[in-house]
Amino acid sequence: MTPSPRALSAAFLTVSLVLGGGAALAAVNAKSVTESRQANFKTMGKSMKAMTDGLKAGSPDMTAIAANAATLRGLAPKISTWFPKGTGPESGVKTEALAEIWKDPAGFAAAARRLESEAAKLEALARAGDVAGARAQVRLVGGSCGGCHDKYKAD
Amino acid sequence: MSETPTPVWDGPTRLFHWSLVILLLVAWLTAGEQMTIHRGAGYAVLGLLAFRVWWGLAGGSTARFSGFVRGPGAIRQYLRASREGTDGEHVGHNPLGALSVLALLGLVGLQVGLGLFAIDEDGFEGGPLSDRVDFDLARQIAEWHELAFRLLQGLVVLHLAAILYYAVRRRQDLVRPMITGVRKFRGPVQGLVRAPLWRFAVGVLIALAVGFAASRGFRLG
Repeated sequence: MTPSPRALSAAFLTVSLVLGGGAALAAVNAKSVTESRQANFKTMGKSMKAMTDGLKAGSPDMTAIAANAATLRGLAPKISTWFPKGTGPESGVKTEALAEIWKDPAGFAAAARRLESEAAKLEALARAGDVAGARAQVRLVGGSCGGCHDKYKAD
Repeated sequence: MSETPTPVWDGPTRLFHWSLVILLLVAWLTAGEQMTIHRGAGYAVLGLLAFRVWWGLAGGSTARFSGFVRGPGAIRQYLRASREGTDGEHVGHNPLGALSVLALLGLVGLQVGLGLFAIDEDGFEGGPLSDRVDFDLARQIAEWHELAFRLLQGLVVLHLAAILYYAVRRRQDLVRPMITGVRKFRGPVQGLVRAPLWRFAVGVLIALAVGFAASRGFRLG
Protein backbone atom coordinates (compact mmCIF):
# COMPACT_ATOMS: atom_id res chain seq x y z
CA MET A 1 0.00 0.00 0.00
CA THR A 2 1.26 3.44 -0.85
CA PRO A 3 1.02 6.09 1.82
CA SER A 4 -1.38 8.89 1.05
CA PRO A 5 0.08 12.32 0.23
CA ARG A 6 -1.45 13.57 3.45
CA ALA A 7 0.34 10.88 5.51
CA LEU A 8 3.59 11.68 3.68
CA SER A 9 3.40 15.38 4.44
CA ALA A 10 2.49 14.62 8.06
CA ALA A 11 5.53 12.38 8.32
CA PHE A 12 7.68 15.04 6.69
CA LEU A 13 6.39 17.66 9.11
CA THR A 14 7.09 15.43 12.09
CA VAL A 15 10.63 14.69 10.95
CA SER A 16 11.39 18.35 10.32
CA LEU A 17 9.96 19.36 13.68
CA VAL A 18 12.08 16.77 15.45
CA LEU A 19 15.24 17.69 13.53
CA GLY A 20 14.62 21.44 13.83
CA GLY A 21 13.74 21.13 17.48
CA GLY A 22 16.85 19.07 18.07
CA ALA A 23 19.01 21.69 16.37
CA ALA A 24 17.40 24.45 18.40
CA LEU A 25 17.91 22.46 21.57
CA ALA A 26 21.58 21.89 20.71
CA ALA A 27 21.95 25.63 20.09
CA VAL A 28 20.39 26.43 23.45
CA ASN A 29 22.68 23.88 25.08
CA ALA A 30 25.82 25.24 23.41
CA LYS A 31 24.88 28.68 24.62
CA SER A 32 24.19 27.69 28.20
CA VAL A 33 27.21 25.36 28.31
CA THR A 34 29.44 28.16 27.01
CA GLU A 35 28.03 30.66 29.48
CA SER A 36 28.40 28.39 32.47
CA ARG A 37 31.97 27.41 31.62
CA GLN A 38 32.84 31.07 31.18
CA ALA A 39 31.37 31.71 34.63
CA ASN A 40 33.51 28.88 36.00
CA PHE A 41 36.68 30.28 34.48
CA LYS A 42 35.76 33.66 35.88
CA THR A 43 35.52 32.09 39.32
CA MET A 44 39.01 30.72 38.77
CA GLY A 45 40.27 34.12 37.62
CA LYS A 46 38.84 35.72 40.74
CA SER A 47 40.52 33.11 42.96
CA MET A 48 43.79 33.68 41.15
CA LYS A 49 43.56 37.43 41.58
CA ALA A 50 42.65 37.08 45.25
CA MET A 51 45.85 35.03 45.72
CA THR A 52 48.18 37.31 43.73
CA ASP A 53 46.71 40.35 45.51
CA GLY A 54 46.90 38.62 48.88
CA LEU A 55 50.50 37.52 48.45
CA LYS A 56 51.56 41.12 47.79
CA ALA A 57 50.88 41.97 51.43
CA GLY A 58 53.66 42.00 54.01
CA SER A 59 52.00 39.23 56.00
CA PRO A 60 49.48 37.55 53.72
CA ASP A 61 46.33 35.87 55.00
CA MET A 62 47.45 32.30 54.28
CA THR A 63 44.08 30.78 55.20
CA ALA A 64 42.46 32.78 52.40
CA ILE A 65 45.27 31.79 50.00
CA ALA A 66 44.72 28.12 50.86
CA ALA A 67 40.95 28.46 50.34
CA ASN A 68 41.42 30.02 46.89
CA ALA A 69 44.02 27.42 45.92
CA ALA A 70 41.49 24.76 46.98
CA THR A 71 38.90 26.35 44.68
CA LEU A 72 41.29 26.01 41.74
CA ARG A 73 42.33 22.50 42.75
CA GLY A 74 38.67 21.49 42.97
CA LEU A 75 37.60 23.02 39.63
CA ALA A 76 40.62 21.90 37.57
CA PRO A 77 39.58 18.21 37.20
CA LYS A 78 36.14 19.34 35.98
CA ILE A 79 37.46 21.49 33.14
CA SER A 80 37.25 18.71 30.52
CA THR A 81 33.55 18.23 31.28
CA TRP A 82 32.85 21.89 30.50
CA PHE A 83 33.71 21.29 26.85
CA PRO A 84 31.21 18.75 25.44
CA LYS A 85 31.38 18.17 21.68
CA GLY A 86 29.49 20.82 19.74
CA THR A 87 30.34 23.72 22.05
CA GLY A 88 33.39 24.89 20.14
CA PRO A 89 33.67 27.67 17.58
CA GLU A 90 31.42 25.68 15.19
CA SER A 91 28.45 26.13 17.55
CA GLY A 92 27.93 29.72 16.44
CA VAL A 93 28.04 30.82 20.07
CA LYS A 94 30.69 33.43 20.78
CA THR A 95 33.57 31.53 22.34
CA GLU A 96 37.33 31.72 22.44
CA ALA A 97 37.63 27.96 22.81
CA LEU A 98 39.77 26.61 19.99
CA ALA A 99 38.95 23.46 17.99
CA GLU A 100 42.28 22.12 19.31
CA ILE A 101 40.48 21.20 22.56
CA TRP A 102 38.50 18.50 20.73
CA LYS A 103 41.35 17.50 18.41
CA ASP A 104 43.75 16.91 21.29
CA PRO A 105 41.64 15.85 24.29
CA ALA A 106 44.60 14.09 25.93
CA GLY A 107 46.75 17.23 25.82
CA PHE A 108 43.86 19.33 27.08
CA ALA A 109 43.24 16.97 30.00
CA ALA A 110 46.96 16.97 30.80
CA ALA A 111 46.94 20.79 30.92
CA ALA A 112 44.06 20.66 33.40
CA ARG A 113 45.90 18.07 35.51
CA ARG A 114 48.91 20.38 35.59
CA LEU A 115 46.73 23.13 37.04
CA GLU A 116 45.27 20.70 39.55
CA SER A 117 48.69 19.57 40.81
CA GLU A 118 50.21 23.09 40.90
CA ALA A 119 47.15 24.38 42.78
CA ALA A 120 47.36 21.45 45.21
CA LYS A 121 51.00 22.31 45.93
CA LEU A 122 50.07 25.94 46.52
CA GLU A 123 47.28 24.89 48.85
CA ALA A 124 49.73 22.75 50.86
CA LEU A 125 52.30 25.57 51.06
CA ALA A 126 49.61 28.01 52.16
CA ARG A 127 48.36 25.61 54.84
CA ALA A 128 51.96 25.25 56.04
CA GLY A 129 52.19 29.04 56.24
CA ASP A 130 55.15 29.13 53.82
CA VAL A 131 54.83 32.66 52.39
CA ALA A 132 57.98 32.59 50.25
CA GLY A 133 57.09 29.14 48.91
CA ALA A 134 53.54 30.27 48.12
CA ARG A 135 54.82 33.36 46.31
CA ALA A 136 57.01 31.18 44.08
CA GLN A 137 54.32 28.54 43.61
CA VAL A 138 51.59 31.02 42.61
CA ARG A 139 53.72 31.83 39.55
CA LEU A 140 53.58 28.17 38.52
CA VAL A 141 49.83 28.11 39.00
CA GLY A 142 49.51 31.23 36.85
CA GLY A 143 51.83 29.66 34.32
CA SER A 144 49.55 26.66 34.03
CA CYS A 145 46.60 28.97 33.15
CA GLY A 146 48.68 30.70 30.48
CA GLY A 147 50.22 27.47 29.22
CA CYS A 148 46.82 25.98 28.50
CA HIS A 149 45.40 29.23 27.05
CA ASP A 150 48.30 29.56 24.61
CA LYS A 151 47.31 26.31 22.96
CA TYR A 152 43.58 25.96 23.48
CA LYS A 153 42.20 29.49 23.64
CA ALA A 154 42.03 32.33 21.13
CA ASP A 155 43.74 35.60 22.24
CA MET B 1 66.93 79.90 1.78
CA SER B 2 68.64 80.85 4.99
CA GLU B 3 71.97 79.10 4.98
CA THR B 4 72.46 78.77 8.72
CA PRO B 5 70.33 75.98 10.18
CA THR B 6 68.12 77.26 13.01
CA PRO B 7 67.71 75.18 16.16
CA VAL B 8 64.06 74.14 16.70
CA TRP B 9 64.01 71.17 19.11
CA ASP B 10 66.28 70.95 22.15
CA GLY B 11 68.03 67.70 23.07
CA PRO B 12 65.65 66.75 25.90
CA THR B 13 62.59 67.14 23.66
CA ARG B 14 64.15 64.91 21.01
CA LEU B 15 65.26 62.39 23.61
CA PHE B 16 61.72 62.34 24.98
CA HIS B 17 60.24 61.86 21.51
CA TRP B 18 62.41 58.94 20.43
CA SER B 19 62.35 57.27 23.85
CA LEU B 20 58.55 57.35 23.69
CA VAL B 21 58.61 55.81 20.20
CA ILE B 22 60.85 52.96 21.36
CA LEU B 23 58.96 52.36 24.61
CA LEU B 24 55.58 52.28 22.87
CA LEU B 25 56.93 49.74 20.40
CA VAL B 26 58.34 47.62 23.23
CA ALA B 27 55.04 47.82 25.12
CA TRP B 28 53.10 46.88 22.00
CA LEU B 29 55.29 43.88 21.16
CA THR B 30 55.36 42.50 24.70
CA ALA B 31 51.65 43.04 25.50
CA GLY B 32 50.01 39.88 26.79
CA GLU B 33 53.25 37.95 26.36
CA GLN B 34 56.20 39.26 28.32
CA MET B 35 54.40 41.13 30.99
CA THR B 36 57.42 41.97 33.14
CA ILE B 37 58.92 43.89 30.23
CA HIS B 38 55.50 45.31 29.33
CA ARG B 39 55.05 46.68 32.84
CA GLY B 40 58.61 48.05 32.82
CA ALA B 41 57.89 49.90 29.57
CA GLY B 42 54.74 51.30 31.16
CA TYR B 43 56.62 52.65 34.19
CA ALA B 44 59.20 54.22 31.88
CA VAL B 45 56.46 55.82 29.77
CA LEU B 46 54.88 57.24 32.90
CA GLY B 47 58.26 58.68 33.92
CA LEU B 48 58.69 60.13 30.44
CA LEU B 49 55.27 61.76 30.57
CA ALA B 50 56.10 63.33 33.92
CA PHE B 51 59.31 64.63 32.35
CA ARG B 52 57.36 66.03 29.38
CA VAL B 53 54.93 67.89 31.63
CA TRP B 54 57.87 69.40 33.52
CA TRP B 55 59.57 70.25 30.23
CA GLY B 56 56.32 71.80 28.98
CA LEU B 57 56.47 74.16 31.94
CA ALA B 58 60.20 74.73 32.32
CA GLY B 59 61.90 73.44 29.16
CA GLY B 60 63.11 75.02 25.93
CA SER B 61 60.84 77.54 24.23
CA THR B 62 59.42 75.15 21.59
CA ALA B 63 58.58 72.50 24.21
CA ARG B 64 56.62 74.89 26.44
CA PHE B 65 52.85 74.48 26.48
CA SER B 66 52.49 78.26 26.81
CA GLY B 67 54.50 78.59 23.60
CA PHE B 68 52.58 76.22 21.36
CA VAL B 69 49.11 75.50 22.75
CA ARG B 70 46.69 77.78 20.92
CA GLY B 71 42.95 78.38 20.97
CA PRO B 72 40.40 77.39 18.30
CA GLY B 73 40.61 80.83 16.72
CA ALA B 74 44.33 80.50 16.06
CA ILE B 75 43.80 76.99 14.69
CA ARG B 76 41.08 78.19 12.28
CA GLN B 77 43.31 81.03 11.18
CA TYR B 78 46.19 78.63 10.63
CA LEU B 79 43.98 76.31 8.56
CA ARG B 80 42.77 79.22 6.41
CA ALA B 81 46.28 80.53 5.89
CA SER B 82 47.46 77.00 5.20
CA ARG B 83 44.89 76.61 2.40
CA GLU B 84 45.97 79.93 0.89
CA GLY B 85 49.63 79.03 1.29
CA THR B 86 50.29 82.07 3.49
CA ASP B 87 50.79 80.29 6.82
CA GLY B 88 54.52 80.93 6.75
CA GLU B 89 57.01 78.87 8.67
CA HIS B 90 56.78 77.67 12.25
CA VAL B 91 59.64 77.17 14.63
CA GLY B 92 58.19 74.36 16.70
CA HIS B 93 54.60 73.11 16.64
CA ASN B 94 52.08 74.91 14.46
CA PRO B 95 48.64 75.57 16.02
CA LEU B 96 47.14 72.40 14.50
CA GLY B 97 50.14 70.24 15.38
CA ALA B 98 49.77 71.43 18.95
CA LEU B 99 46.42 69.63 19.11
CA SER B 100 48.10 66.46 17.94
CA VAL B 101 50.75 66.76 20.66
CA LEU B 102 48.13 67.26 23.37
CA ALA B 103 46.00 64.38 22.06
CA LEU B 104 48.99 62.04 21.92
CA LEU B 105 50.23 62.97 25.38
CA GLY B 106 46.71 62.70 26.81
CA LEU B 107 46.02 59.34 25.22
CA VAL B 108 49.40 57.90 26.22
CA GLY B 109 48.65 59.09 29.76
CA LEU B 110 45.23 57.45 29.70
CA GLN B 111 46.75 54.28 28.27
CA VAL B 112 49.36 53.98 31.02
CA GLY B 113 46.85 54.98 33.68
CA LEU B 114 44.48 52.19 32.61
CA GLY B 115 47.36 49.72 32.47
CA LEU B 116 48.14 50.34 36.14
CA PHE B 117 44.75 48.86 37.13
CA ALA B 118 44.32 46.23 34.41
CA ILE B 119 44.58 42.47 34.92
CA ASP B 120 44.65 39.56 32.48
CA GLU B 121 41.84 37.04 32.22
CA ASP B 122 43.72 34.60 34.46
CA GLY B 123 43.73 37.14 37.29
CA PHE B 124 47.47 36.65 37.29
CA GLU B 125 49.39 39.29 35.33
CA GLY B 126 48.26 42.78 36.20
CA GLY B 127 49.27 46.37 36.75
CA PRO B 128 50.71 47.45 40.11
CA LEU B 129 47.37 48.91 41.20
CA SER B 130 45.18 46.02 40.00
CA ASP B 131 44.81 44.87 43.60
CA ARG B 132 42.94 48.10 44.36
CA VAL B 133 40.01 47.06 42.16
CA ASP B 134 38.01 43.82 41.93
CA PHE B 135 38.40 41.25 39.17
CA ASP B 136 35.43 42.44 37.09
CA LEU B 137 36.52 46.08 37.13
CA ALA B 138 40.16 45.18 36.45
CA ARG B 139 39.02 43.12 33.44
CA GLN B 140 36.84 45.99 32.24
CA ILE B 141 39.82 48.32 32.57
CA ALA B 142 41.97 45.84 30.63
CA GLU B 143 39.45 46.05 27.79
CA TRP B 144 39.57 49.84 27.89
CA HIS B 145 43.38 49.51 27.91
CA GLU B 146 43.13 47.62 24.61
CA LEU B 147 40.60 50.03 23.16
CA ALA B 148 42.72 53.05 24.12
CA PHE B 149 45.66 51.41 22.36
CA ARG B 150 43.62 51.14 19.14
CA LEU B 151 42.88 54.87 19.42
CA LEU B 152 46.55 55.53 20.08
CA GLN B 153 47.50 53.54 16.98
CA GLY B 154 45.03 55.67 15.03
CA LEU B 155 46.62 58.87 16.30
CA VAL B 156 50.09 57.60 15.45
CA VAL B 157 48.93 56.79 11.92
CA LEU B 158 47.51 60.32 11.68
CA HIS B 159 50.82 61.70 12.99
CA LEU B 160 52.75 59.78 10.32
CA ALA B 161 50.27 60.79 7.63
CA ALA B 162 50.73 64.45 8.55
CA ILE B 163 54.52 64.06 8.34
CA LEU B 164 54.11 62.46 4.91
CA TYR B 165 51.77 65.26 3.83
CA TYR B 166 54.28 67.93 4.83
CA ALA B 167 57.07 66.04 3.09
CA VAL B 168 55.23 65.49 -0.19
CA ARG B 169 52.92 68.48 -0.53
CA ARG B 170 54.80 71.14 1.40
CA ARG B 171 58.37 69.96 0.77
CA GLN B 172 59.07 70.17 4.49
CA ASP B 173 61.11 67.43 6.11
CA LEU B 174 59.85 67.21 9.70
CA VAL B 175 61.71 64.03 10.60
CA ARG B 176 65.29 65.23 10.26
CA PRO B 177 64.80 68.22 12.65
CA MET B 178 63.43 65.80 15.28
CA ILE B 179 66.75 63.93 14.96
CA THR B 180 69.27 66.74 14.50
CA GLY B 181 67.34 69.46 16.29
CA VAL B 182 67.91 72.00 13.52
CA ARG B 183 66.02 73.08 10.44
CA LYS B 184 66.65 75.50 7.60
CA PHE B 185 64.13 78.28 7.07
CA ARG B 186 63.52 80.44 4.03
CA GLY B 187 63.15 83.67 5.97
CA PRO B 188 64.49 85.00 9.24
CA VAL B 189 62.87 83.32 12.25
CA GLN B 190 63.16 83.41 16.03
CA GLY B 191 64.89 80.12 16.83
CA LEU B 192 64.67 77.94 19.90
CA VAL B 193 65.53 79.45 23.28
CA ARG B 194 67.14 76.69 25.29
CA ALA B 195 66.51 75.93 28.95
CA PRO B 196 69.46 75.67 31.36
CA LEU B 197 70.92 72.22 31.92
CA TRP B 198 69.92 72.05 35.59
CA ARG B 199 66.27 72.01 34.56
CA PHE B 200 66.94 68.93 32.46
CA ALA B 201 68.59 67.32 35.50
CA VAL B 202 65.50 68.12 37.59
CA GLY B 203 63.33 66.60 34.85
CA VAL B 204 65.36 63.40 34.85
CA LEU B 205 64.98 63.13 38.63
CA ILE B 206 61.21 63.66 38.34
CA ALA B 207 61.00 60.97 35.66
CA LEU B 208 63.00 58.48 37.70
CA ALA B 209 60.97 59.18 40.84
CA VAL B 210 57.62 58.79 39.07
CA GLY B 211 58.70 55.64 37.19
CA PHE B 212 60.04 54.08 40.37
CA ALA B 213 56.96 55.01 42.40
CA ALA B 214 54.71 53.48 39.73
CA SER B 215 56.72 50.24 39.75
CA ARG B 216 56.05 50.02 43.50
CA GLY B 217 52.36 50.68 42.98
CA PHE B 218 52.91 54.09 44.64
CA ARG B 219 53.40 52.27 47.95
CA LEU B 220 56.54 53.79 49.33
CA GLY B 221 56.37 52.66 52.92
